[in-house]
Order: sequence, then C-alpha cells, then structure tokens
Amino acid sequence: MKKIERDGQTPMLMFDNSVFIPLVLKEIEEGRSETSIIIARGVSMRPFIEDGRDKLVLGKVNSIAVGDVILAEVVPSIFICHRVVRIENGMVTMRGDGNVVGTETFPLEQARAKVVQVVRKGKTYTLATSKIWKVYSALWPRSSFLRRYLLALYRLLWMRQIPDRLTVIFQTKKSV
Amino acid sequence: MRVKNNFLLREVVGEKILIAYCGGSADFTKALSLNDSAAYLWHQLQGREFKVDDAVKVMLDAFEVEEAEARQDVEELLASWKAVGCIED
Repeated sequence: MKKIERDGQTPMLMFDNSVFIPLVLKEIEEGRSETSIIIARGVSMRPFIEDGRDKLVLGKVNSIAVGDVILAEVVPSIFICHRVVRIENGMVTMRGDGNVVGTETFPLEQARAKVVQVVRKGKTYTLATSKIWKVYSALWPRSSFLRRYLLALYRLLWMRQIPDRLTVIFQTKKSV
Repeated sequence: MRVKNNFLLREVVGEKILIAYCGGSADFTKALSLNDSAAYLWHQLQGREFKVDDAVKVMLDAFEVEEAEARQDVEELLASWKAVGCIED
C-alpha cells in the first residue's frame, strides 16, 4: 500500500491489487452486496473501457459465455479483467480488447467475478442488454493486424497520444 | 448534519476505509481512508443529528487537543466527508 499526497485534497491510498481485489470480491461472494464498483485500471480493454475514466460493476459469476468480460485470478493473487474468447474442457481463455497479442487461459473456477455493467464517460451500459456493447463486440476485430492499426488510430485521434517518433519529426520540422 | 447509514467502515491491512453502499452495490470508487481519530469520530456521530460544535466536543472529550486545533481538524474532516457524500445536511 502507498500513500499519494495531493495538493489541497485528502491523500490517496493505493492498495496492491492482491489486497484490493479480494476485498472487492468478498463483498459479492459473501453476499454483502450484489455488485461491487471499481475504477477500471490499465489500457488492455481499450477502446471501450478507458484507464482511470470508466467504472466496472462486478457481479457474481453465475454462468460464463464467450464474449463475457470476466475478472479472473489467473494465478494466485494476480487478477486480470478481460473478455472471454474461448471455453473448452473446463478451461477459459481471455483476451483484452486492447491487446494485440497475448491471452490468458485458466480453469473455469478461477473466474471470480463478471462485469455486468460498464460506466463509460458517466453513462451506464448493461452488458447483457446494451445494443451499443453488442454492436461494438461484434465489430471489434479479432485479427491482431487490424487491432494494431485501429488501436494506433484510437490513441492518435481520441487520446491525442502522439508516438515518440512522430513527436521527434514534428519538433525537427518546427526547429528548421 | 447526519452521517449517511449507507457508508460502512471496514479495515483493510490496518487501514480504516469508509465504503459506500448504494442500491445493492459496494462502491469502491467512493472509498475514503480514515485515521484512528477520524474513525472514532465517525463511530460517535452514527445515528444522530449533529453540528460542527458537537463533533468538536467529541474530539475534545476523547483527545488531549486544543479547541482551535480540534475545530480546524473537524471542519476539514467534515468537508472531505461532504465531498464524497457520506454526510448530509
């Protein structure tokens, strides 16, 4: 755990995921609440779920299907929240929408929570019924090649993140 | 003022954390960390109407602190609680 001082605001406590996520899961698993709400961290579920901006509403795992977004303990104390891409012989494979390469495969029982809603830019999407989520899920490419370019475009146009090599080109042109 | 009864104090690795419960959800995006004296005040203010003076008195009765210092701490604390919505007027 670390404490982050913020000007004019109460300090922010940052817990390690291995401490924080079990606490969040305990609320659901012990039935104290139906769902737990957390801030999404990381960029691996881009472009729909953005780091630090959006919220995830987690519920119990009553069933898992391909396309669901699951929070799993992929190895002890390591938690990942990605989309299910395959279920075979009791093993689940997940892949982040924002990941070009890499998947996680683990036994079904290691799925600890299901994302039931996403609060994106303040608007709530219920994943089981949202048409926008369904259309996005159907259109977002599985191909690594297409993903690489779409994600690069997303970073450039929406996130205004200019790659280092382009920054160098712009700076060089300005200085000439 | 009154503390809302949908906030619960939980202990996580030695830290006291106030968590919001709303509509069947535990909202960890509105969690607030309290030190020991703030947690004591939170417990004392549960289930009753109070004013800033009442909160200051709770602190003065429990801790050896000057009134001006207690008042300043209480005012800052209540402002931060108001900001996350765990007390209401």
